[in-house]
Amino acid sequence: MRLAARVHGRSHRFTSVRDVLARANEPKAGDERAGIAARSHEERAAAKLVVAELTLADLRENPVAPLDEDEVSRVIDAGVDEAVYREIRGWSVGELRDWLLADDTSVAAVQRLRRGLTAEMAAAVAKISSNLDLVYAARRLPVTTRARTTVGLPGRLSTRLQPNHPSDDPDGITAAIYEGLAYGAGDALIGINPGSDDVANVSKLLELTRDLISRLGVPTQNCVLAHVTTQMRALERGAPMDILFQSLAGTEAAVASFGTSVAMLDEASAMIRERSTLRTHGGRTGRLQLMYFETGQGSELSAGAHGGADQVTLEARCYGLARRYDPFLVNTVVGFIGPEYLADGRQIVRAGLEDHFMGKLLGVPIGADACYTNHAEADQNDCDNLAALLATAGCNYFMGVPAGDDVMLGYQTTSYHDGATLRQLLGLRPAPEFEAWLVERGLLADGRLTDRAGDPAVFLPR
Amino acid sequence: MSAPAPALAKLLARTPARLAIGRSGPRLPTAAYLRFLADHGRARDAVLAEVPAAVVKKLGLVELATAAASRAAYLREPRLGRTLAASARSRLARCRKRPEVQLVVVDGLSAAAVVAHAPTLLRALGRELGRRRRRLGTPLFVRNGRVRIQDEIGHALRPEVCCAIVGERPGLATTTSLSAYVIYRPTRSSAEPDRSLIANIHDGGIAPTAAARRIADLIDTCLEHHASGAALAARLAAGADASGA
Repeated sequence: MRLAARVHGRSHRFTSVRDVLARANEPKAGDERAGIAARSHEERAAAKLVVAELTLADLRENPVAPLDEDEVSRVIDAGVDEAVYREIRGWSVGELRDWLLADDTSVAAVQRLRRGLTAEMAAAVAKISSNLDLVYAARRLPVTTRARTTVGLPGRLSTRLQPNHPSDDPDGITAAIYEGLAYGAGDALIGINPGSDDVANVSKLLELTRDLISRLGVPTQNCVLAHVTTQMRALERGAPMDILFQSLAGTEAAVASFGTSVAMLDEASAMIRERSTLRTHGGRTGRLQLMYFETGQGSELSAGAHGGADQVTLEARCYGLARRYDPFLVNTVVGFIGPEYLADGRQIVRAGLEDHFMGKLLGVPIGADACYTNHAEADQNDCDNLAALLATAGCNYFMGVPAGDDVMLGYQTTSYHDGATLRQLLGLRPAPEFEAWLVERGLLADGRLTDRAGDPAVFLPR
Repeated sequence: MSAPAPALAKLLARTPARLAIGRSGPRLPTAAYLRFLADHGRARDAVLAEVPAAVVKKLGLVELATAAASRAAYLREPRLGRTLAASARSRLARCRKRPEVQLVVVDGLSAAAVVAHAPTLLRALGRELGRRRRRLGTPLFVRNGRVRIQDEIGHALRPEVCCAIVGERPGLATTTSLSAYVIYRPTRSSAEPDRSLIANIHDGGIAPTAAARRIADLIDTCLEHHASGAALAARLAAGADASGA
């Protein structure tokens, strides 16, 4: 393994795989603060040269957190399909990139190959890819999952309806759900971030959304994004939950900082399989997809648990961990963390494209919260740009929030209008079950909003 | 858009979300889009603004600088806003040591919040603490500061309780929200769970005068139980159990 490169007559040396992976990243405020970013533009280019020559075996044998110290590394390593890995272990990262972009690489071949990959391999390819590479390659890596709706089919774009309210007022939440549905939002999920993380409140919100879903006959699923322990207590008390949520991070210590662990997630996963309202849905058989994970570059540094690894590689490890649970949805909340990690619109857009590509390459059903906070050098135009790029890349879903202004979390993201616009702009349809429902309700015809669409009053009880 | 049906209006009245705004094709109508931009513009300005020196002087606060030399540096690197500048250390040396209550105003992410509500809040808090005969420290203002700067100040001045009044990250609905972080005997090894928090202090949330009473009551409780944050909550819960038994 070679950890040095000569560029324009100058020699650049790197101390480890972890070091060169970090130096090869596109500029990120978090990597700079951690003191692991490239020290010059030429060093960044040299690091990319070194990364391109590393073999997939080099990356598997040198995870950014050692196997004996980090359970996330162990989960990812144990999940590798050894037969597939043996076929590709000698490939360089550059060869893997070329193969992913090649004209004669089929979807079926990628679906087989991804089982032999680790997170570090996916991150390494992202580091030697341009934004348009990431868009083009990801489009060829569809990941489809199914609950009441089928999300991630090529030619489809879904949204999570996010009807948050600062004090969880049921009427306010109901109004936001009516309006979202009237714009065709909500085919991935109706998911509420609760203002108050307690069992009674979480159960109340699950009942509210279950009742609405059932009264209106909407083919979708509910979720309340409380801490996993709160949701488990709600489930034990019989709360009507379709999908169970948790935030993930890319190191054992950062996962612990979220108050959870692989053992706890295993337990939660078993419990939702046992108790989800979806378990009896439509007499379906086979493996149910019942988990929803959120991730985002920088949370490991934020927790002081990055261990010298860069935020792109650590983000890929979140997807590696997510794979263990065969989730229904994974969401990179890309601009939420703030300018200490992603300084501006340019860094947020880059991170969103990296995350979506790495998630798809590792086989998780990834969507994106294309978003920003008010202390970042970003605005709604950056959010528009990222959403348009990701929709082109085949992103599974976006958030849908009234006018993009989340009045509970205090940040801005994509709106109900944006979901409808991207569909009409790019000829994308909602999830098939949900599309049929919208057509039946007279809100969508030939993939376009009807005159009736956008009016929340259409869902008022008669 | 015509006026919404009464049944819908009743629901809409319950939320500040931007609902029933209509559409131009699939896009936001012009008015809704421009209103959004105006609200975001105000929030951005609030983040980037500085508290004028005249305001600090009028409030009678001693100003301390942090290691963040500019607003841009402050926003990118949280560590800087948690570290005092050398000039601040010499100023602190001239402040009252070991007071019962140390008040610190911190601009945080909203200078606008400090300018809008710190005058009323400090006046009311002064009255409340005076009525309770608390020994107060030299009131301070920290420019480009984060919440944890109160631990540095605690290390230097050794108050029994430190109350930091901090400008919150502006949202589109309000840019003038303050929070009060109250901590018993702060030190450099204090952590987030050691703080008690009263958030959402602004005209549309907890009004500043009402907040002053709540803060003074919270300070009383901290002094009585020699604790704050999670430790205080645990002691109060244990006390409630004991009296219930």
